[in-house]
Amino acid sequence: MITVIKYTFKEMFHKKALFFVLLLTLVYLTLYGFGIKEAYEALPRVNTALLSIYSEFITVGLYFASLIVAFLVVISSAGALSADVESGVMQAVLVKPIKRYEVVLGKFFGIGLMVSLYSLFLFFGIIFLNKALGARVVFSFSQVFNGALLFLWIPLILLSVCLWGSARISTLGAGIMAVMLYGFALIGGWLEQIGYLISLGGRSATGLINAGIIASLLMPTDAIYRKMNSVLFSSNGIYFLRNNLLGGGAEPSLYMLLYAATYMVFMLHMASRSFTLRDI
Amino acid sequence: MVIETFNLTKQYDGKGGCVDINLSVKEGEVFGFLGPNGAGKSTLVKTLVGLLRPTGGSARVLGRPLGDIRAMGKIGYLPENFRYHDWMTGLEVMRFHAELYKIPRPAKRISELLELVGLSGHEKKKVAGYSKGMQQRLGLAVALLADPELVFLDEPTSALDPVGRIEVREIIRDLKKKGKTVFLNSHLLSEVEMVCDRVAIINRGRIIACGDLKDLLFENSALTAKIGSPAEGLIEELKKIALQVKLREDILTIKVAKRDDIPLIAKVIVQSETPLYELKMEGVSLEELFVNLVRGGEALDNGD
Repeated sequence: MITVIKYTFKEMFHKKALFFVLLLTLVYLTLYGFGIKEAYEALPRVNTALLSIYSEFITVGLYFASLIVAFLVVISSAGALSADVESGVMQAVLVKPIKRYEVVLGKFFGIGLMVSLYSLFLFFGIIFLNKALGARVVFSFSQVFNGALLFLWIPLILLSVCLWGSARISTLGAGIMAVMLYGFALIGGWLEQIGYLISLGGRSATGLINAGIIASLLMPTDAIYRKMNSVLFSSNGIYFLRNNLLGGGAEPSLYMLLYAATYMVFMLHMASRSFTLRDI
Repeated sequence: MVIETFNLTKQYDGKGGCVDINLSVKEGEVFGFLGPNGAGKSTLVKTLVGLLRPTGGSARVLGRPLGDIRAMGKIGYLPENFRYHDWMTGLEVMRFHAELYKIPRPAKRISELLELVGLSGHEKKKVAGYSKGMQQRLGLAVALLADPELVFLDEPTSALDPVGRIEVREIIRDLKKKGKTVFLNSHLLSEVEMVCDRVAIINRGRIIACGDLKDLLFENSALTAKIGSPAEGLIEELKKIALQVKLREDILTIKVAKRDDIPLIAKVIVQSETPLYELKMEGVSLEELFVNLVRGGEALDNGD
């Protein structure tokens, strides 16, 4: 399996899409940095209520960063198994003393390692830009550490789904399925946030909140993103991120985290099983 | 037996593929597997190497069930339609596969094999820039990496020039000398005729002939004798030895069961005092046999 991890990681460097994503990243960070610099300069420096505004800028930055990471995951993993099967590469690989589940896990860890490094770069890039350009937010080590772990967990969940698709169906099909599920999670997250905001006004919005929960069950990435927000922006039991579509609101429970972990492991199990049963 | 199949079947939605395959391949032999396009040759090979899951029957390769990891370490496989990661160099492909085989310190072996298949000097070029023939040579080198006991070669010369084909034949003969078993899947009959000990012919997914190549060719050959006026009782005497005797004008066509019967036939004709002007074996080539079997759909199985 180590061999597959090693060569999958190396292969990522040879994908043109990676350089495209890196270019996008630079453009994104430049635009984002310019935007927050202008915004922070325009804001008064003394108002303590600004804390939540700084937090919102950070969460918006991380939200779009997670979209770019998701893009990288889909383009690098939707064909991780199926494209190699379609091209004939897999025929020579699988007739070796290696179990098929080892190939699946090797691809997961190889791509996962690259995506994790990239996620950490983006995560700390956003935090650094905000701190350097004037955001007066103080994070403890544990907040940043746990926040970073949750941030890089999001693409790993998506990666497990992509590999399951790639083990069963064509590259195109796997890519479309992963994007659709990720889209459900995003929209579900918005619906849940809207429901939460409505319920704060005293009206019932159970339907919206339930729709969000169902979407999180289908793909728990948005729930993990909101958990990351609550980890980053909670201090002494106070959640200082304002409620909006991208953050704030109800913090996902421990059960949701356990569900997300089980979901990822289950997807990897299904990917391994499907690939083991697949005719090559 | 290195390969044993028992009614092995692989079909796609109940169609195509190969059906009820019963084969035995002995250690150290070069076994040719022939058939027209779409007959099920590659399906059988891919099933034997564990890429396809059988839909019926069973098989053992190197004494282990299909796809067994322990057996896979002793198998080399050159697929028919394959590609290697085109971002790698030839050398990297070899190293990658050597690592998959868990070969310790493979550098010397890799260098020997690249030399053997004629890729020395090209090993640092990207596979994307390799011609189809070079890719096939690289595939052959990968198949031989682990010094396998059993080598499956699926159309190993389809992209090679005549010199390359001769080189591959030499490699196959060399493998046989080393006691390796080779399962050669090909529709190049002359190639099979030159290197194989035994063959099986598949058509429409079923084995229609299987056995020793010389025996198969002999069974489909006939002895012809140009004679003068036949002595009384000659035909009856010949029928006691031969499987079939036909007389048309002055030509006797005689089908015998084994080569040892030929001198007996000559003796009977001479002793009957029938003038014998010419006696020769009218053999069939593998190509003729193949075409007759495939076109005729005749089932001929010598019991293997």
